[in-house]
Amino acid sequence: MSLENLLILVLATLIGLLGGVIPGVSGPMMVVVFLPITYAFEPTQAFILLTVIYAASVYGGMVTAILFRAPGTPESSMTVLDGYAMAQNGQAGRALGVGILASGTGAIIATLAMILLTPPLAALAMNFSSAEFFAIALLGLSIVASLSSGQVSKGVFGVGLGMLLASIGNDPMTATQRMTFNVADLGAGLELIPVMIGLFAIPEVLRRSRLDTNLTFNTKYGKVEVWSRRNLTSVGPTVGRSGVIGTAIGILPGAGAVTAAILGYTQAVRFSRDKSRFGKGDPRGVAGPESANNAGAVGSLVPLFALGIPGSATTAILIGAFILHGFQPGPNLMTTQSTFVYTIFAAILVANVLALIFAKPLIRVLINVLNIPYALLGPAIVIFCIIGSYSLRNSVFDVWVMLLFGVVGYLLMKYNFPVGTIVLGFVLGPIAESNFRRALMMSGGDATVFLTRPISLTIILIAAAILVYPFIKPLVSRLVTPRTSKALDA
Amino acid sequence: MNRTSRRQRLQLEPLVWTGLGVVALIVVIAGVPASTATALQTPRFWPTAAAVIMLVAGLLIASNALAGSRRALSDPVAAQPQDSSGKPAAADPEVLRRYNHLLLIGIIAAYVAALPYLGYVVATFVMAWVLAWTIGVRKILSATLASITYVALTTVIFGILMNVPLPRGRGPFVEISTFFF
Repeated sequence: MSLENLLILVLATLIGLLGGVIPGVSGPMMVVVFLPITYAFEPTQAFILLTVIYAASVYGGMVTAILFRAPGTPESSMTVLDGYAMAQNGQAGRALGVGILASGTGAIIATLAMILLTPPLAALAMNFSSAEFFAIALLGLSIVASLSSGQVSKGVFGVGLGMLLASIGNDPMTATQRMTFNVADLGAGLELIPVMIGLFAIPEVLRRSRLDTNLTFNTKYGKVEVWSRRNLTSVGPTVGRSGVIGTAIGILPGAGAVTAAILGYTQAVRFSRDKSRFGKGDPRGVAGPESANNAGAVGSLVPLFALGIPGSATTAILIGAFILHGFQPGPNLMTTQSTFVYTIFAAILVANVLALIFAKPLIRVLINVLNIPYALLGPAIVIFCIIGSYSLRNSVFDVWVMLLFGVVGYLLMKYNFPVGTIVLGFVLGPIAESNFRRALMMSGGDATVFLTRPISLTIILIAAAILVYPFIKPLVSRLVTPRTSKALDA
Repeated sequence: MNRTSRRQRLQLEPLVWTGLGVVALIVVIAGVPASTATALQTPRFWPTAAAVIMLVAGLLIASNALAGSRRALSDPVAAQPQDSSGKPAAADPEVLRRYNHLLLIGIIAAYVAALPYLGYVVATFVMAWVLAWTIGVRKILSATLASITYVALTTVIFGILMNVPLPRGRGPFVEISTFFF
């Protein structure tokens, strides 16, 4: 790795940790805000910056979860339970130390798994044709349920909206103008970046502008204890177990790091002899979710690199970034750009080792950032959003698009709408459409091509099952519960 | 917001999604020309599929809300305000500046409209200062220093290092912009 790449890596680690530490500045927001800066970068450097920011933001999220009961990222929500309780018991420093140890180890376990598993998975996918790629895109779209926070109908609506927005402009096959209504700026379609910036970054600034923006935190936490014998013996097995669980969950398309954190916590409780201490400040209650969420975040990069489908909202944004830089993530990337891919893998590994070593002294610096009031950070975020949207095509029209989607995003946020699903539809819609039409063209218009090829059929059935399950889940529960109650009564 | 108006808003919300689905379908029919190709391969097929997905999802949201309101009639506890997913509606957090978000949208819109005329440096400095003040900075020096820092930083990164042709404005503002980048 060159010195330049190493500098970018260190910078990205710092930015990611910083983003994770500040509540209201999420991982997707950091990736979206920094994406425009990568326009001028070499692709390798661009993706070192973006993927490491993503991985490190999950790492940083635990700090405010432990100290202030305010998870810096959604992935750190479970860390609040025992982390904040430890802080209340005067063990904030130890909780931070356990968090650092668990986060770094979990992410390293997942990175090693990613290096081992991505190539064979991509090699398997090399035999796929357009029908299979359409099925994979459909599988990617079916993760909508996990991005919907329990509101699957709204999530499906969001996917449809994203697909519709992505269809504006030239039709990829016939160059017919779709939904442009003679607006010249719409001819090339809506750009992903202004849409994403609008949906993710602007609404949060609008929301926070109504609250007390001059609040700062009380940032006293005592001595941070990372590599002590006490930590290694008490949380070591939990860290290892949750790291493996988190990796497996992350690899499943749509399961994501939040699910991994929940499972990491429940597994930590399940394997414990004394379960009564959980929720009252047990270090394993910090180690379990932190190891699993970091492993899950890295694990979700496996389907991204191997199959070209996102495992989370942030990886959907990363797919957009790949396309922006002229790459099509998926099995071909592993064979045609293997050096590029392995450099990114190495960067993630090094970033996690660096974070594990330097997180302790860095926490002191990062926490000082929390003393900067949001009233000063807000304008900076808005300016970066504006210039990021403008510099894509040097077009003021894109800034208007960003503002429009900022307002839309704010309204959607008021209705608890899962905006990540719009991005999912926007990114995967065109991939699904082009492969769908190509497969039909190659089969002479025979639509059964998707069902006669075994791999395509299997993937479509899995996608359908993932999509339909949340809708039939209440019915299944109703059918199962009476039987279970009767059995218990008997 | 009083409880009655909030409930009305929440009852109207499911219909909004269905309405948006219908609008999407109309936009597709009006905005994508019909083609002689096989139905599945026409340029209209995919956007139509997207609009139909929106419409079906909108109808599902509406039916869920209807089922929720029926449950509310039979269960007084469930009669509390709910959103369309059937979950209790989130309480408003401690809002200090009720219309600040609208002000911010207005400021950014005015900035984007003025950008081609005032140029990046002047327009961004003014916007950053007004934004900082609107969001809550109450010291003139802090707002001014922050605005200068943001403009300087972004001009150096994007205008000079990345060669992004930032707007230079018109008339006398071109001279001001040329002085910086």
